[in-house]
Amino acid sequence: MWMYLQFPTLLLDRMQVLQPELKERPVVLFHEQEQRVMQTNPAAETVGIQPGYPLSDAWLLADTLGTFRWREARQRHLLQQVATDLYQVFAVISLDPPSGLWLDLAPMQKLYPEPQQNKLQLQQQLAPWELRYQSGVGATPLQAKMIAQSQVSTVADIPIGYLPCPLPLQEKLQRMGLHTLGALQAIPRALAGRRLGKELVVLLARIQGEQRESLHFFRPPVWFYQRLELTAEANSWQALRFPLNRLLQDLEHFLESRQQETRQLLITLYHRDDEPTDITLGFAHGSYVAQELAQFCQLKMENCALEAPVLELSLQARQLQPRHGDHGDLLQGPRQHKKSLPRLLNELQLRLGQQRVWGVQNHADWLPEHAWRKVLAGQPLGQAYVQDRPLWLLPEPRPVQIQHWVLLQGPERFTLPWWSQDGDQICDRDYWKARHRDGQPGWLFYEHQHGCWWQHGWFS
Amino acid sequence: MSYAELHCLSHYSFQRGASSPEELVNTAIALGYQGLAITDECSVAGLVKAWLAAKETPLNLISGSEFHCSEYGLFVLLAKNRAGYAQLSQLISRCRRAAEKGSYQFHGHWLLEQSLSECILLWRPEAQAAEGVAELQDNLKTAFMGRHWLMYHRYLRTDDRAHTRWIKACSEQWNWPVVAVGGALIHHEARLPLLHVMHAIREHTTVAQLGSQRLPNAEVRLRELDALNQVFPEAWRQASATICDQCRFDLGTLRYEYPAEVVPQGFTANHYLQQLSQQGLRWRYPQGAPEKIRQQLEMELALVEELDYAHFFLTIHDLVVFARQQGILHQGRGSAANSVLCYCLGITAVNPAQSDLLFERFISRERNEPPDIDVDFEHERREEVIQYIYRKYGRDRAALAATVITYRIRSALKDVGKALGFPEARIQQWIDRLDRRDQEEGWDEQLRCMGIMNHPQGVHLLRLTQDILRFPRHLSQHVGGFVIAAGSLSDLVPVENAAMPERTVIQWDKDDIEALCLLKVDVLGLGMLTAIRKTLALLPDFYHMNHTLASIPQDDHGVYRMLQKADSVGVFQIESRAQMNMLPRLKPRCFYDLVIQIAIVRPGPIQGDMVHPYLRRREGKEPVDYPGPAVQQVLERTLGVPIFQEQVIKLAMVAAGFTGGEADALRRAMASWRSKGKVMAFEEKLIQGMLGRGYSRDFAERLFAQICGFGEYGFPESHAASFANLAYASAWLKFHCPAAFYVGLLNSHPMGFYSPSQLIQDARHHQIEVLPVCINSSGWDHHLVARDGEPAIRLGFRLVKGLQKQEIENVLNLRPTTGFQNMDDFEKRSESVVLSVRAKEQLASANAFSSLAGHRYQTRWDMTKLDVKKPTDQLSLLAVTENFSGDYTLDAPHEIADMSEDFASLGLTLGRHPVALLDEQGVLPHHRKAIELGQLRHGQLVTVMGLVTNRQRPGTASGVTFMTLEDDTGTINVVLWQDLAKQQRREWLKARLLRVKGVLEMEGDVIHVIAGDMKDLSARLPVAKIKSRDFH
Repeated sequence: MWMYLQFPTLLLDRMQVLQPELKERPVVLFHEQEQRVMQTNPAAETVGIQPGYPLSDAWLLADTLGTFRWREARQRHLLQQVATDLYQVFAVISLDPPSGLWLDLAPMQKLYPEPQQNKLQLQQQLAPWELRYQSGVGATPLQAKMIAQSQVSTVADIPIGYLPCPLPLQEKLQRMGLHTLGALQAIPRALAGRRLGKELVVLLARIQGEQRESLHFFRPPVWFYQRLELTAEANSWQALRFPLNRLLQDLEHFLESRQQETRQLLITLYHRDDEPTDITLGFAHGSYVAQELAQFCQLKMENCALEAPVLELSLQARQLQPRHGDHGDLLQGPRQHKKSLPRLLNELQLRLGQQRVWGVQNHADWLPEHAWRKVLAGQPLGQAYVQDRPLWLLPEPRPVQIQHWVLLQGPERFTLPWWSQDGDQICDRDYWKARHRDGQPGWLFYEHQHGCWWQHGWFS
Repeated sequence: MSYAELHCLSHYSFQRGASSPEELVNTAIALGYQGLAITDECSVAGLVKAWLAAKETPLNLISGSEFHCSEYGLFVLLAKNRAGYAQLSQLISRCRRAAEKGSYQFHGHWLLEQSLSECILLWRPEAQAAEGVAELQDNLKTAFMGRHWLMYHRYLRTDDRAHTRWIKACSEQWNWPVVAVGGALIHHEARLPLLHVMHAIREHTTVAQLGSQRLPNAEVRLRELDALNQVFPEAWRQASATICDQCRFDLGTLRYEYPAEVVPQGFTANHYLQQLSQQGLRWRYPQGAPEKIRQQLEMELALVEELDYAHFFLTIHDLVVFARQQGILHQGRGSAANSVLCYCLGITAVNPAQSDLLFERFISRERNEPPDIDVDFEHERREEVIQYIYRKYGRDRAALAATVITYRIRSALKDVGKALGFPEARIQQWIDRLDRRDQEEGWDEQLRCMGIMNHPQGVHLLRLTQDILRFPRHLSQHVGGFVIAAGSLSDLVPVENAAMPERTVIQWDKDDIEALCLLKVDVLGLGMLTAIRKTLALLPDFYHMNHTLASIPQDDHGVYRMLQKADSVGVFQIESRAQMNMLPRLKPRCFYDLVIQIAIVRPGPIQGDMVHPYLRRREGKEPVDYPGPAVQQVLERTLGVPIFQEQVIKLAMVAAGFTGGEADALRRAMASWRSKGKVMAFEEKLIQGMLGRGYSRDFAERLFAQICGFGEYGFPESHAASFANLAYASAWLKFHCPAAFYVGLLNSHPMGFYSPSQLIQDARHHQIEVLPVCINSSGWDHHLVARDGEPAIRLGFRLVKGLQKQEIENVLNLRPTTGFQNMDDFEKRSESVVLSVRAKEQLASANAFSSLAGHRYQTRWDMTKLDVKKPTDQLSLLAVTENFSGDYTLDAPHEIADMSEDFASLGLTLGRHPVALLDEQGVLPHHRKAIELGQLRHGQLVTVMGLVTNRQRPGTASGVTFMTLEDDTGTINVVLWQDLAKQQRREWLKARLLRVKGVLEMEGDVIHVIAGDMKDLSARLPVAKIKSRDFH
């Protein structure tokens, strides 16, 4: 016996648990390329939005619609997490990503001889997840899946539309009046094969269990990862506390069920335009208690300012170890081994703040201040593309007395980037090569907007 | 100091320049330039606009173009005179014709191969020029003999010094003079952001990521003379003025010459036209033409001769003669089309005698605009006419006019948004959320409400989107406007390749052509003409009469009575819901009423509030008064309410004293897209003009408001009249020969407003028998058969989805006259032709075999065979040796399944209506039928139900939505007010089967249900494939 679980709104349900305010209004997940609705919450269904609708129609039906991209990878990951949880009760699980999974009930028979007991176990195990699901029980995996999806009571009643076969074949069957699996099964198999092809015969054999399904059985992952989309942009650490605590609680649950602990956390903050910010927290001793880990995070966070508003947040714990009896002091543990450069950089970043540790890279742009970029530390330097520029650029342009200078060559005129200003004023700078009365060659510019002279660099 | 800008690109160098030709010209004048050359890249597409702006100003506008050669650098050619312009145009044509649509090929050597004796050459040699550059310059020097210059640009960039050195070196070494040029891409520095955006669009990147490809400063603008003084040596500046003086070509002197072959030898064009029109007069009036008509013709011919338009009429006559010979139905429209001359030449079938010549314009002497004639041909056969034009005049003499594709709000938001770095999905969401109707107006406010300003780039997105709106994106081909030249067309205007193979387009659009008084012949396609021709062809056999479009009896009261009842499904132009709504109110009684009916149900008259005053006056509920005799003359035939575009123009002349030229400018302003701004420019003059002539301020302001409301939507009377002729003809056919009419329509599909299913429902409501698709009786097209002396419609295979015409015709060729005997007979006979399994299955599902075999499920099962050539279909799993004794018997479909199959394979059912079936099963709540509504009383509460066949939202201010429900007895018109529409969107927006509770509103024969509460019952419908025609 097999049981199939179908989670039609898996990702959205999960988002609602982590961010309960989402329940208050219609929310959908949409397919980015097709711009179609993938998942809907109950509030969205109430106003008439259904999966498959164009997003533009959904907007028509709900002015206050919340929309998020459907991310398949994330849903697959979530499905794994659900399976990991069910693994504590059900020994044989097979995933059917992105929205379903099978449970083999046969090994459970001894433990739970009554079928109702399986259901009860399932309910208990899934309750904290607050997921909507449909289940179906069948003699073969395919039967269970089709019953779960179609919610009919017997195999013979399964509508043809639920057959796992190409649409043209489904249509072909329906247009002969074969609307249910029962009607199809009534035809002698050989005849059906002659008219409709091998593909269908194989499928019928699979449904009947005459041919075994090649299912991949689930093994729980050995490390923890979760990513979470925020309902609103977070501008401060304070606003991140609640969602982070949720993730830490999940981590505790994960570690608890494995009797493990972690010695390193990687928190990643995702921004709109900038590179994501990684925050690595390493501890001398392992821990698994959410509250403890949260305190430690808080300690680190208090000293840092957010570089940019945060849209999403993820938590990763990879270095897991069997749980240790003695925790010791989290913050005082000695570091013994020598650090590699990347590790050193990471730790420097953790301690100093990201805005204080970086590498530089050339960037093709006219304006000197924009001709280089901050990049992740440790990358090699590329080719400079503009000739005739001073090797020594001042950190900030400084005002000069033009009387002290003789202009030699110029001007080169550069317009400041209008898109990083609020107004639509065009502001120009005229750059000149000039010699100081002391004889040093320098790089000056005249700023039209304020009518003054600045020095920006020295030649040699 | 004198300076002329000799190198300047407009936004017709797509994604390169960011100012319009008008902006460039106006700025050049303001800056005190002596001259300005518009030198778009291998193009003169912006030239006419620039010429219009520079007309009657001191600025010397120079025609030119730039060409890029990867080996030798940048070249600019300027036309010295008319001959030079022709040479330039030929070179552009050569470059464009050598490449795909939208691009061009050019090589420096072409300047030596082509005659450019009347052009001036400017050259910026590439610093890393290819080998042979010395030889090339030598040859160019010889070829251009003193008309050659090196261009010097200075943009205050990093490489200025190196560039200056290079140009000086070239000049000294090769002995070429140097001229300073600006290389302008914008007219003002404030355009720089938009220019950056356009370059980012071109490079498929964002402005921030353009990096060194981004222009560093705004020195690509038209610069002030002071600024130019600072960057250019005086001698080089002065050279620009010298060159400018040598260029003396005025685009206005382009003279169009007519193709000569339409006049036979020994005739003058006027003489020949005279002769043809006299022949036509005898043909059209066999009993002799009325004196009034003769006089009118004389007058028209005199005018044509005076204005020298005989060739134009002869050219169009030549086309319609060809069409007549080929049996292609056609109909001319436009101001000149509704003339005795065009009637006699066979260009139009609108009989001027019966319409009492109500038309204002024939050709306007005072306005000097070319005659306006569009000719519609049957849509299925228009290509034959186009090919005839190419055959007759050759490809170098005939080409289509261009259409400039411009930025609209959606494309603008998308492109600008991407260039500013917004994620595409985000932009798409904003676009999706824009109200469909209001998206061209108030869009910025809507975007603000969506929170766009929270984004740091939001302010730029709004401003730049606004700036880029209506900027040209690329040239496309006009739907059917041909320009035909006497000689080589490329002497007149460059010709380039269109997207369609074997099509060529010129670089000017219809406005340019009109501005230069070139003649364009519009060859358009119209589905209704196809339908009418097909209907007329059936009349001799089934109705014992013979008619052409022109011979259909006029003033048939029965026809008008039918239209007054809004029984107009399928009738040209007056079949939409909004038109049907108007018919019982306007109650057309004569041809001219139809002309008004067609023109009045348009957004122009509706928004200008002309409909209700007109109806009230027509019903005698409001007095008809005129503020003066001059106005009375213009408005008398529309009871004092301006309805047509011509009337508005005429009013501007008689009431506000506009000259012909000014009125023409007003007409252009009204015709141009989203023209309110342009029309506003006339406000002062119109109102003052009317006040000065003694009209009241109230009248003047009302008239101006009407003109604004008209805007682009005003419909010309001359077009409405030609449409009315087809509307009447189709209505006459529907009234007298309905079965033939439906067959004609169905065989011309896709066209018109209604689906085949709706047309057939309508046919059956008119008691016409419709017979199903049958393998033994049907042809590809639908046809008529006599049943009990009455024509009935036999449906054709063209309805069967997924069936190829050739496949089934191969089979039909083998069909014995007595038909196939049985399935075996069919299989045996059709063995020799290729009829795919898929086609057979389609036929089976369409129930086409019902006369030979059992029900369609069984037939389909019997016909389904595996394709033995496909190895995947071969059975290896099961032994084929197994005994197939007997085959399998499937259950017959029940009535609902039959209906479902009908819709899936034909898109319609001849069985019972889905609503009737569901009624019988008792799955629908109680409701009134369409046919019952007439017996109820005004104001009564009703519940109705039906399939949603149409959702329409006319462009009226009130935001009403019309829906049509179809039940088994007819159609029900539902009116949905905006608030309710918004509240109950989930019920009606997607519904296929809808229940509506509401108030019955009856006004004469007009019956509406004003919706109060709706319920989507689509789930009870067993049929998935019922389509509604929505929001077209």
